[in-house]
Amino acid sequence: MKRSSHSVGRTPGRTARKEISGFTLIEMLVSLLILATVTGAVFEQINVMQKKANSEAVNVDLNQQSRDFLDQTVRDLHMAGYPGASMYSNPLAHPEKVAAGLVRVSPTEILLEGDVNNDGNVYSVDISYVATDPADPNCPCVRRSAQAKINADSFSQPLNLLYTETQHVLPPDQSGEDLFAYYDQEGSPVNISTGGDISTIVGKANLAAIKTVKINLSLLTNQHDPQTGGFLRTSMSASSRLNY
Amino acid sequence: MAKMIARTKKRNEQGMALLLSLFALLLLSGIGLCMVLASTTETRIDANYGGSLRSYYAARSGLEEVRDRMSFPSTSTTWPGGIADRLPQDIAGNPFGVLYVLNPANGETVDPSDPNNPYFDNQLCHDYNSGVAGKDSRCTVVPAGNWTLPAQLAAVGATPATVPAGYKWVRITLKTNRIADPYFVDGDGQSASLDTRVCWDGLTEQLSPGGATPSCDANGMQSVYMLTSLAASAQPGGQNASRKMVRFEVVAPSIRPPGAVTMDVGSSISPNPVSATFNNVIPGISIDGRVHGIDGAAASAACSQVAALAANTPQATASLQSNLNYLRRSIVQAANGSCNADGSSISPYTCTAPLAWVRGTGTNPRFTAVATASPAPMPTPVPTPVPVAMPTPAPNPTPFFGGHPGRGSDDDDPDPRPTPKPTPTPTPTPTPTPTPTPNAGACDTSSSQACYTSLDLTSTYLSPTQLFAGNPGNSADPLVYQSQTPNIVVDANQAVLNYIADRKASGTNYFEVPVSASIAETYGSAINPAVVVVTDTSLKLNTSLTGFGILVVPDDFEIQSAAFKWTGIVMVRSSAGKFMISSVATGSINGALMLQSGSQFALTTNTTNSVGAGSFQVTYSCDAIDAAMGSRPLKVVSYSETAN
Repeated sequence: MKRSSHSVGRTPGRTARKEISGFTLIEMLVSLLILATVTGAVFEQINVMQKKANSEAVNVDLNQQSRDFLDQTVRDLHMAGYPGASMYSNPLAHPEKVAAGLVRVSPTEILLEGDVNNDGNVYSVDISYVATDPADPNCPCVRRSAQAKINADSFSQPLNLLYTETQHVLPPDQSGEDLFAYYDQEGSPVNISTGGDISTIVGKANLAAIKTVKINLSLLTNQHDPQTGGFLRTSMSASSRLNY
Repeated sequence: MAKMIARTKKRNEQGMALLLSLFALLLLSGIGLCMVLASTTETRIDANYGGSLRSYYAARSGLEEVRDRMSFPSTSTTWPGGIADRLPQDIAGNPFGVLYVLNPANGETVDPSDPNNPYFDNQLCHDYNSGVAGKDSRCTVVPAGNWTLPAQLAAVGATPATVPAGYKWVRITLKTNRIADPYFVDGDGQSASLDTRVCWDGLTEQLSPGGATPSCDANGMQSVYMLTSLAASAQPGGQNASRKMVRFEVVAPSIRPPGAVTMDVGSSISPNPVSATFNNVIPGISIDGRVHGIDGAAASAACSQVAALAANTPQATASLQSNLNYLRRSIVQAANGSCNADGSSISPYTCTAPLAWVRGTGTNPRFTAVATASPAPMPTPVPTPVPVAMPTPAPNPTPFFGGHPGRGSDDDDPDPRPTPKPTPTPTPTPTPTPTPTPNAGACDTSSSQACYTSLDLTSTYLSPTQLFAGNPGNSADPLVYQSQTPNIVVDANQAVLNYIADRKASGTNYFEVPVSASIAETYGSAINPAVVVVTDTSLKLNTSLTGFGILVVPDDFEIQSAAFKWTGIVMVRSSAGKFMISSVATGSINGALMLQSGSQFALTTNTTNSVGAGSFQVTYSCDAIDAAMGSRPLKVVSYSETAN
């Protein structure tokens, strides 16, 4: 930057002050303008990054929730039906040790039995979609509860009030995909509308035909994506082959 | 001085740009670092998830590969990697009780028996009586001695190996009740030793009865094999980040009947427990429970031999024993009435070599058939059947030895059916009578001669082809095997019926014969075994019939003047019918003959007391049974994941 000199004919003290005279007003204004612009740009970027970081944190949380849910459900399905009735010489003598496998299925629910914790106990596991719960603002949600099997009747196990919850689930009618879809040996969809539980012959046959379960999960938050402006959303799916 | 100060101030102001630049750089670097960290974390999560999936499917692939290879022997040209003939024959912990299939990567050493190897089998100690407590603990020991069979290598080279399977090893062991812990087959693990083998009866798992022949196939069941697969996926850093150990219980899809002829009499309170009627002397038949090949020739040990006759209830067993004794008595009576001590004939009958052998060369015949007035004890105790009414006997197509002048002392007994003793009064009519007891026809204990019940029906002196042969049964009569529980035989029958239903549904080489007279002459082949179901009321065969597969007859099955040769399974389903071989019938059943509830087993091959020609044989062949029902793929009984 070129400096101008206005110190000629002044006293020495003033001369010295003049020699170190500052920027002109214009220079200062220009400098401030540039600095403000640069700083503004930097802080704008920081702001954007903060928003993005916040949204990424929410995204990570969504992904983690989705992964947890899919992992857990796949593990549950892998162990469904273990140990089966054919592993006992007299399965009727110890019904609490016999896992029925799939007990009741629907597009929004799976009730199954199996040693899902690998701890030597058969559990009755219920994974179901909850559209609304006045006491829970995080619903629509999917809840999973596991209860050690006690009764012979797979439909009358004690209710476990403790559950894990996957929150902010996008309702299936909005996501366009059922939470659970069922396929047979050839990969064709199994029609469970005629019977979806083992209490009827048709239902039992339908459940016996199910060899693969596809899980479709979409989560939707009330936070905006800074880039798209839309609500943050994630979708994941997994397929699990039944082993019984 | 002031100038110097001013200059100094001037230099200090000039540093602001640097500071600002550094600050901006630090800020941007921090943001960038955060983004990199976040990205790295995500990548690691994804890699971990992917590694877990890879390990899971790699372990599954190992199980599937080994399950398939277990269907073929190593000599098979169809599948060169077969290991069916190399499987453990004993339980883990005993010599050669474990087989590993190894799948090392290039340059990698996989040794599950070495505790220092990264792929050491740290779960094996829980599968045998190692003394290690706590199924969640990791093993550090292996069994002593030669506990493993020679390891096999994965058959990756036999398939397109663009991506080698990632499993490290698959362990094959026979399942025991200890391995089932805590889901014991008997529920609580208290009914037998934990090292009792677990078997498959066609529908459910059962404990082997153990004893001298603990193998499952010697007791009417299939062996259950436990496959354990370990896979470990490598992370980008080279570390094995994800290990998965998964298990299959597998069994062969076919059955192993406990006898060459197996009889199911329904329930233990069946009103019709009669399952065998031997209407002649030295029948020209052979019932052989030894192992035969698919061609009917004696074969090496593809499986364990079984008893000639087997039944599912004590009543059926008692009935069989009684009827076998009846056959013995008939033979002794014929021999004593036809032969002199020097082997000459007693006119007008002919003393044949077998009868002379039975008669013996002593002054008195070797055996006596004199009945005692009171029941004599059997060699070993047997369950006493509940006396129930006999059904009205079916008319015999051939006369039973009646009016033979050379009969023994009780030849005045006109009733061909075994009459319960002690009932000295002959039963003059075929009206319902008490069920024959095992000791029916017991001998006079005061006699110095051996009782006819001691006659060895397996002797080749009686018949070169042996009337009966096979694994000694577990009952009072060594020819008879009493199944451990009734439902073992029932389940085996049901497994065959389920298989037939599947074949009917698929329509594959499935034939129904509504009019038995129009049955074809041949069905099926070794490559394409048939399922033939006669839906007519009975099948009375007067024309030759040759077949391969499964033949089901709903009621009476009489092989009359015909040659009948069937390889596979013949099943007679009846509530009151019978399987009968007439005197002029020839042929064989190579595989198994299964008689369902109520069926009688009537052998009437000869009408004279001559030596049987061995014209009809029932031979046990597990190969023929496997071919008829299919031997692959092995059925998965259960799947589980274990902590590792």
